Amino acid sequence: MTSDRITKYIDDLTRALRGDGAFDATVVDEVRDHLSDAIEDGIRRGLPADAAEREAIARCGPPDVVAAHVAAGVPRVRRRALLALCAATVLASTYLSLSMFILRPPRANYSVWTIEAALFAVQGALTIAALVRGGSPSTWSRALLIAGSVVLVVVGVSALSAAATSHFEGYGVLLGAMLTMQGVLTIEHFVRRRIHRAVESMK
Amino acid sequence: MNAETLKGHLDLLLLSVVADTPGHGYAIAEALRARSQSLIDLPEGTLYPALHRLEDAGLISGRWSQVNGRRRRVYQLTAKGHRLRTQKHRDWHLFARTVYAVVGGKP
Repeated sequence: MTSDRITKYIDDLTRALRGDGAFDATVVDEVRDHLSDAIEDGIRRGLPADAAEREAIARCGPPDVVAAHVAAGVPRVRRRALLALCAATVLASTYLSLSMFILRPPRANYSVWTIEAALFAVQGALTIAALVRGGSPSTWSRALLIAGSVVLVVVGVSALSAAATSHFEGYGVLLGAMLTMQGVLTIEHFVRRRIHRAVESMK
Repeated sequence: MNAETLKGHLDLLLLSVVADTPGHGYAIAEALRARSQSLIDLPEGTLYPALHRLEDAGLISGRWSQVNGRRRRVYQLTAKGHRLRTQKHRDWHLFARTVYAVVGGKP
């Protein structure tokens, strides 16, 4: 059973991680398990439950110190920029979809746009979910995000090059640029960070 | 021995512990404490970002599994981690021998 003191520690850690823009659900889960193990260990050594809890928390370290160590490995500004860009792309493609289905422009290709809009929404939602959850996504999730990002870049560049002849010239340029940036930043975030960390560990 | 003193050496320490005793975070923290005879005094919560950094670099792999009826994230060394640990171990011995040669004493 989790005591109030442990719950407060985990809440403080979660708040500190969010405050640092570095929330990582895996770290929070592992620290919770760590505290449970440490308390059980303390009780096995003959400590009263209350003292075992205090010792476990003291040994774990202040939540803000743990959060600072997590934050040190997270590119926070780029992470927030990518979050904002994903949200903006989803909103922009939703706005364009509504505009198309209300205004019914004659030259629009509705079936292609429906597929593209669905892709933008799914890719945006998946990227936002991965960023909000924090930490490293699994190999499959990372592969899925990168594959989706490559498609975004291709669609974005195509939209930019075709914008001059498109019905939504201004929107085409804007959305194309946003998709390209989102794709490139997502790949950069989930691939370059891994490479960077590998290089750091070699030092 | 605090975090500042251990800066730059934590990776080797963690790789060595995980190599000998693959396990979950608490077991790794306990092994680190026991093997250092309690001389290493790190906030144990800070081991997790360090373990994740090593995992991101492909030096250890972590996966959730059931241990004693509880779900825990268990870490073990990868082949790449094994190679780096061997190299860092060699570098450390060379460094220690060099420093001892200058300041006197035995490694």
